[in-house]
Amino acid sequence: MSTPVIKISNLVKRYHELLALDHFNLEIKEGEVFGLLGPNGSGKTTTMNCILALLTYDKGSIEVFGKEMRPDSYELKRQIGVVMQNVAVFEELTVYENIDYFCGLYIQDKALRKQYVEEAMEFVGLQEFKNFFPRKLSGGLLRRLNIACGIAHKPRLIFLDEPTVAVDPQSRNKILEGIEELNRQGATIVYTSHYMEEVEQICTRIAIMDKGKNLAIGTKEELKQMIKKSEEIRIEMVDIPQEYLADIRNLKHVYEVRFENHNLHVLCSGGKHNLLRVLDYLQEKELSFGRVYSELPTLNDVFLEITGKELRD
Amino acid sequence: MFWHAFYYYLKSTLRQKENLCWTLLFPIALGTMFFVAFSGLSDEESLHTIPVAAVVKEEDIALKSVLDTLGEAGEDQFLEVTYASEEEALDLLQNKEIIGILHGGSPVTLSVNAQMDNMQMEQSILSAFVDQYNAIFDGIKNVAMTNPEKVEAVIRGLSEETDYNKEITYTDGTMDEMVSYFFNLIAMTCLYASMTGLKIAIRNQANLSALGARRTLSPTHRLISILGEITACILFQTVIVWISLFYLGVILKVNFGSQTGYMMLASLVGCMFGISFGFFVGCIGKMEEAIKVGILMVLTMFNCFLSGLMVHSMRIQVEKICPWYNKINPAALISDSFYALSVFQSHDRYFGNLATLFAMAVCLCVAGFFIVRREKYATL
Amino acid sequence: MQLFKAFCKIGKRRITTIGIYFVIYAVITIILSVTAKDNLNVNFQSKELSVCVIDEDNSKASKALTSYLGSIHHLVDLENDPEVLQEHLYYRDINYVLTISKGFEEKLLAGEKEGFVTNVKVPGSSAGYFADQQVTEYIQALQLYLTGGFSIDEAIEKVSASFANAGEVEAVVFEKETAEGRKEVFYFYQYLPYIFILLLFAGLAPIIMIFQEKDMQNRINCSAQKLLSRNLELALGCGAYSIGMWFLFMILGTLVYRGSMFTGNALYAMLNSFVFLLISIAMTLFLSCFDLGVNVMNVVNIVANLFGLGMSFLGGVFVPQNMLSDKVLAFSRFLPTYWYVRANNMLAGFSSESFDMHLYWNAIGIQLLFALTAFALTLVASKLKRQA
Repeated sequence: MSTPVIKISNLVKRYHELLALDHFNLEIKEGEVFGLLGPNGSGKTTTMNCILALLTYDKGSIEVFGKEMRPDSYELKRQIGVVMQNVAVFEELTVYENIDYFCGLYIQDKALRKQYVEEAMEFVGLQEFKNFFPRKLSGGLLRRLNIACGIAHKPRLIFLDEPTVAVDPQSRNKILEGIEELNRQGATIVYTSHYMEEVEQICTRIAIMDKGKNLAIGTKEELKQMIKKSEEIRIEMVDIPQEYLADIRNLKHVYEVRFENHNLHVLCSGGKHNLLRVLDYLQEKELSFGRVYSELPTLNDVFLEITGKELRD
Repeated sequence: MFWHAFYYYLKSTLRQKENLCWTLLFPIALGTMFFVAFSGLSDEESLHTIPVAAVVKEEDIALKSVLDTLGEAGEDQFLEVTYASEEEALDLLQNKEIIGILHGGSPVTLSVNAQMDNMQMEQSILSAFVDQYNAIFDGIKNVAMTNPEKVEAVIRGLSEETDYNKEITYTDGTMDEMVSYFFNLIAMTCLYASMTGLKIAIRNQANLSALGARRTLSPTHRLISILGEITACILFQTVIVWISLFYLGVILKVNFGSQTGYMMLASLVGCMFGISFGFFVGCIGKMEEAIKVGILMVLTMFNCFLSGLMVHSMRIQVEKICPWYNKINPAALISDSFYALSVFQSHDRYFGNLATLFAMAVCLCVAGFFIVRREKYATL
Repeated sequence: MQLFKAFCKIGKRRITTIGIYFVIYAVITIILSVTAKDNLNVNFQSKELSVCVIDEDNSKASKALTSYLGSIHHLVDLENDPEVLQEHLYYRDINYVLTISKGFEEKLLAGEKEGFVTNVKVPGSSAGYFADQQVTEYIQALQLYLTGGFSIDEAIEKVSASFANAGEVEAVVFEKETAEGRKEVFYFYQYLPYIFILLLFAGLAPIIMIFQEKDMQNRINCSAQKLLSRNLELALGCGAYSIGMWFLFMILGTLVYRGSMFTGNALYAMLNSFVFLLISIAMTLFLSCFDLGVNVMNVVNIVANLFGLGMSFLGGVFVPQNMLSDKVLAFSRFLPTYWYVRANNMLAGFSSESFDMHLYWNAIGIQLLFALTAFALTLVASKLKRQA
């Protein structure tokens, strides 16, 4: 059993009366793309800052690469790259110079650094903007620069804190692809976000957080299996009598039926061919309907079932 | 790491064109205004004709004769005499049309207006003239009574050119008081560098900026990169002050003396203090930047004020009331260094001031480092 | 009243910064006005100077001269080392150094006309000049008696008697109230132009700039509120801040000078200061039209001191107007500070101009014109900015 890259045990962090992290536990293995998912204020950024030894904490322990992470753990810091939520670049330096500056804090060798900087720019797709100043870049390009500054030195462990906030779709795709590529090249990624679609897309393992607690942890599939809902069928209809709703409710694997806003919602737990059964019934009763949707559960559903809240409130 | 931080700090500073403009404009524009304001300042040694009223009787022939001579129109006219009655003379005095009233008699007496304090120079000169007149009058009287044959020789002697009292100076440098305003202007410019020191502190602290957080997470010891930035900052600000010195000394021809090298060194140490001070203030507490700027600005202006920027004799007042403050007031130390260069031959006082400034700068820097050394925060 | 409320809220948030500025500049004002007596008006009474006499001759004549100086001034004994003497001169421990050269008495007896003594003083100082005169008088008097056939002892005796009997100078008081109590209040007003410019530029301008910022302006312009109404609210905010500041300073003055603030010409001076406040407000509004970049606080402080110090020095706030050259004064007439100071000087009796209501109202009128011009320029500038 290899040492986990990050091991958090019983972490407690208070901001005065507010309990930001409540006996938080987490283990992240090497090579994972680990997602920290949760609504705003759940403690994702706080967790990250504690791991990075930027924030003090009240109880618990944190180990990175098997060693205690402290502000003066320079050897550990050398292997870590961070892309913060707020863009942290120098307005007076060009794209190239910014990346070079931050890379220079990690890599002393000039030739090697030059190579890394070129690779970083190519990686995020900013070569043609090499001599641009940050104020001339769009939001998406700025975020890409922010990322380049954080990963240019090719770290083993990379933290990305909400890297796609306010970013155009093109840049966002580029960023997500880039993260996957970094992982393929061997980096362990810790990705925090409240966009479940992104987390679902790239993360190998996910922890769902709320109010400083780790609610559920596992792969996508494992998380989805934790909840009752395995399928949601939605059918557009003008109207449906109450007794028919009760009938549908009694169909196999159906555990909830609702009719609202001209939409029939049928929630199923497990089983196969649920959609066929529902449609058969409607046909039998000669009820007309419009579009038909069958959706697998999302992480939002997982979150909703566990907490009773939406991820994006 | 040090040179890496040094290089990039310098690069980014030189690119802040607006900042550069203002930093350079300030001493040059203000220096020019000072220069214009002080040009042609009334030379207190050169006397303008002094208007007086003379209340004389028939028998005051000698006085009248002297007044007529001194009141003769021409380049060296000493007095402008109006003969009047007592009432007329008092009227003129009340309306401030004359400096004083000379009353004939033995001895001659003088009346001045108590509310004309601003004319004390002229009043003193009149007073001295009256004393001199009386003394000579007495003298001639005494000689006439005792050795009347010598009277002619005495009068001849009085009309001869004399140079009894020669003024010398112990120093080659200028003792022009107005130059001290320029010294204080240089001091203010050095202390204004504290703003850049403040910025360095803020952008290096994780709880104050995202850039600070990023720096903290790097394996480079923060203190090394901060030191690199501070060094670059000192270099930059010092060059600004040197340019100002050049402008004031060479273009405006303000008499700073000839010890250019020492002046440049004083500027360097002055900037060092300014930046360290700004850095220290930037490191303390989590106040908004605007408040810290406010603190720096008022402290700078207050110190410059006490050093004599606005009224140059303020320094002397401080010297009398709490002399120890002049020894730690950075503005006073900087301007005093310049003053010492222009007045004294030996450099003892100059080096003393610089040593104090340097020591204070180092202490402030170290104190700032100690505060900022902590890289973990309770909140970010 | 949304804008006004927002203005007040922002002002409240900045209260610490504003408070710091206010306290320090209030202290500076008090110090300046309390010490102004010495700066602006040296007492006529011949001051007892501190004089160091170095007697290299050690003769009766030299001792007599030393004794005479000792009778009218305070003699300080120092070693005959140029560095030491220079040091004491520099710190004003002594005002004058007289060195009586060897052969002083001989030269006197021989009837020579030069090279008797040397002096070191702070050049241009009235104290030094004064001492020069007294030394010259004494030597001249001595030589007169010697030429007149008296012996050195007799000459010394006669001269000493003569100077001892010198008449007193009568200082006639024309005003009924004691000049001292009244004058100090005007010292308080003397420096207010600099203070007002600083406090408004550094304290008020940053607040106004927040509302002038492009995106903010656009957002406000989209609202249903009329332009006039918006501007009035902002004007109300500015007025509240500035007048509040002025009021605080008047209270400060009253605390220090008590009744003098309300008697005689002091009320005219108060009005004068209020008019200058209007000029300061107008200049602040004009400044706020400009985009000062990212380092707003930094630039605002620089501009404040540039204008504040510059206008003050050129206008005669710090260096008395009667010391400025005519050329400078000709230029200064185009500065509001010149007119403010001229009025204040006249009210206080600092200048040679006697009190003249016509001149006072003239000065007030010109200052108001400056204020109007600045307001007009502000309107033009903001219009150009909107159009750009």
